[in-house]
Amino acid sequence: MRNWHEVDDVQLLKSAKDGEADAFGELYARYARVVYRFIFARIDDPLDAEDLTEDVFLKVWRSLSNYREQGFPFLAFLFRIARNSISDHYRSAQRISRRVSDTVNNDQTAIPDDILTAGFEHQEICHILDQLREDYRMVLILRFLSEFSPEETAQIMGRSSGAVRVLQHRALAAARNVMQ
Amino acid sequence: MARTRDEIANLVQSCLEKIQKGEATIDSVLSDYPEIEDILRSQLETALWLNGRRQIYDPRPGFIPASRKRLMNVIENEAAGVAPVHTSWNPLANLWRKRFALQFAVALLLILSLLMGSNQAALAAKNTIPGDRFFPFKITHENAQVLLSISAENDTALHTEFTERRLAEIQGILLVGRYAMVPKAVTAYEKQVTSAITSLKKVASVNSARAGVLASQLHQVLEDGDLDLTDLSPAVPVETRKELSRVHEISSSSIHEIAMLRLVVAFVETSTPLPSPTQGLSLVMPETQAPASEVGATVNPTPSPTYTPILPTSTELTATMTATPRTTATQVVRSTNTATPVIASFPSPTSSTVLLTPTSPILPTGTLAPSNTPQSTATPLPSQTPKPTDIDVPPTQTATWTATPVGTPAPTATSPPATATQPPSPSSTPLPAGCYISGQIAEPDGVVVALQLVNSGDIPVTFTEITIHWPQPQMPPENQEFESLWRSVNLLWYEPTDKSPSTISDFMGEPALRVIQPGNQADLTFRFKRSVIGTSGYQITVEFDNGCSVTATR
Repeated sequence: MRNWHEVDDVQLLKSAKDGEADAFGELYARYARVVYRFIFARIDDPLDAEDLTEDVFLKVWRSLSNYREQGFPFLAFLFRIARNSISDHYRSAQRISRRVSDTVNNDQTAIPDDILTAGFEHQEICHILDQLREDYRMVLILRFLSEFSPEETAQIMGRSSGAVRVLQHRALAAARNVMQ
Repeated sequence: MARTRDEIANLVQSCLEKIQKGEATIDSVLSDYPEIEDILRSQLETALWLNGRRQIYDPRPGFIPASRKRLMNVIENEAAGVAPVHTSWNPLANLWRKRFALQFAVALLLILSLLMGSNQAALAAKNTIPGDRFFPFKITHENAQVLLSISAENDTALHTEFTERRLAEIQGILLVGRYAMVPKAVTAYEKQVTSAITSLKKVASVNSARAGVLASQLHQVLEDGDLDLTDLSPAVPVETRKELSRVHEISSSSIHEIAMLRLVVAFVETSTPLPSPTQGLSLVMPETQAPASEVGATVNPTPSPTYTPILPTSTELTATMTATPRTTATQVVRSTNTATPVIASFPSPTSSTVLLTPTSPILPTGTLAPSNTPQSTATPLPSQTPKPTDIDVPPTQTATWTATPVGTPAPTATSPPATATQPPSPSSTPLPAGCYISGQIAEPDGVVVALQLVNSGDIPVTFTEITIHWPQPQMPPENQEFESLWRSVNLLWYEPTDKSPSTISDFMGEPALRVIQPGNQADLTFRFKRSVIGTSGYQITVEFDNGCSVTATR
C-alpha cells in the first residue's frame, strides 16, 4: 500500500483523478482543517460547518474529472467550491442566521466557560467580518484564521502576492474601524 | 519621509512575520518606524488579535479522521454504484431491530446469487424494464437491498434511487412500444414514491437537516422524471397518454407533499431546538392534496402551501398545513407574430438591462408563461383564458428593471400575423422555450462578475456560446484578465485572456452542465484575475440552442 503522506499535492491530485480514493483521502486530511475554519468563520453553527466541509470535498471529488490544472491551483479550486457551498447553504434552505448567542443563551448553565467564551468570541469575529467587503473578509479569514501564507492566499484568491498584501493592509484597517 | 500604501502594506507583512516567528515584539518593530507608528500599531494589533483567536475555528477533536472515513465510504459506494449512505445513525440499535430482516435478506441474496450465477447477472438485471426476463430479479434484488438497509436515511436514499428507476422503466417501456405494460409500471412507480415519502418522513422525525437534503434529492428525481415523460407524451397512443397524466398527477402531488415536508423541516431547523429522537418529534401531515386542476391550458394554479406551526410546549411539534390555490396575476401571452419576442416577467428587480433577441421564429401558442406574482388566493376562474393578440404584449413585470426587445425584425408576409380567432392552445404540450429566458448581472464583487440566467419557458435550454465584454483600465499597467467561467461549483471554461470581448464556445465538462431546466436558474460566475474595475461596463451575451440569445449589461 502506498504511503500517501510522502506524496505531494500535485501527485495526489493526479492519483485522485485516476480514481485513487486513498489519495483523495490524504488531500482531505491535509486541507479539511483549513476548509473547516474557512467555513466556520462564515456560518454560525459548527455542526453545519462540519457537514459543509464534508460536502465540499465530496463536490471536489465529483468535479475532479472536470478539473484541469492549467495553472489553476488546486487550492483555488477547493476554496472556490467552499465559497459556493457556503452561498448554497444559505440560499437553498433559506436559513435564518443563527447566531451563536441563539444557541448559547438557551441553557448557559450547561455550557462550560471556555466554550461559552469561544462562542462569544466567534460571535464578535462574525460581527466584524460581516461588515467588511467580501474580498476583505476573505483575505482576513485566509491569512489569520486559516493561516495561509500570502502566497497561498494569492493562489486561492487569484491575485498576486503583492495585491494580497495591499488587500490585507486595507482589510485590517477596515476591521480596525469596525472594532472601534 | 512619506511612505506609499504599498510600502506600508509590505512593512505590515514583514513585521507580522517577525512577530509570529518570535524574532520581534510589537514595540520593537514600532520603534524602527516611528513615523508610521500609529498605522502600524493598529494593523499589527488587529492582525494578532484575529490570529490569536484561530483556535476557536478548530474542528472538534476526532472530527477529521471520522469525517474522512465517512467520505471514503461515500466515495467507494458511489464508485460501486450504490446510493450515498450517510452514517449518522445508530448502527447497533438498528442492527438489533432488523436482525431478522437481515438474516432473511442474507439468505435471499444467497439464493439470488445461486439463481443468477454471478454479480454480472445482477448488474445486467439493473437496466432491465418490465417484460424483460431478468426484470423480476431486479425487483427482488431491490427488495433485498431495502431489507439489508439499517437506517431510515439509507432506506430513503434507496427508495429515491428506485423511484428514479421506476420512472426510467416507464420511459423504456414507451421507447420499445410495450404500451400494455404502462399501467402496471405506473402503479409500481406510485408505490415506490409512496415508500420514499414514508421513509423520508421517518428521517424528518429524527434528523431534520438530513431530511431536507434527501427531500431535495427526491424532489429533483420526480421533477426530472416528470419532465422527461412529458416530452414523450405526444408520441404515444391516446390511452397511454392517460397513464402518463396519472404519472404527472402522482409526481405533482408527491412534489407538493415533499415541499410541505421541507417547509416543516426548514422551520424545525431554523426556529426550534430539536428535541432528541427519543423525545419524539411528530410531523403531522395532511393527506396529499389533489393536484390542482388546470384552468384551460393556461392558468396553472399552484398550490401554495401555508403552514401553521404550533410551537412545541413540551417535546412535540405539530405543523398543520393547508394548501391554498394560487393564481398567477401576471399573464404573458405569446403573440403569433413569429418575429416578436415575448418577454416573461422575472422576479428580481435589478438595474441591469436584458435584451432578448430571437433568432428563430417563436411558435404561436396561447399558453401563459409562468409568473411569479402570487397575489390572488381566490379560486382560479376558467374565464381567465388568455386571448391571443397580434400586438406585442409588453412585459407585465412590476420590477424596476427594464426589458427591452431589440433587433426585432418587422413582421413580413412570410410571418403570419396573429388573428383574434386564433384560439389558445389548450393542450398540455410543453411550451417551446421561445425566448423565455432572462439574464441579469449582479453587482461585481471582488474578482467575480455573476450572471443569473432564468429559464421561464417550458422546456430545457442549453447555452452554446457566451460573449463577455469587460472594461479595461484607462492607463493599464496590466490589462484585466478574464480567467474562468463557473456554473455553481463546476468549471466550464479556463483560458485566461485579456482580450475583451471574448467568446466562449468550447465549454468544459458534460453538456448537461449547460442545460437550464424549465423554471430553473443558472448562476454563472465569471472570474477575473484582479479585482473587477468599477461596477459598470460589463456586457454578457448568451446564445442558446433554441436560437435565442440574452444580453445583460451593467
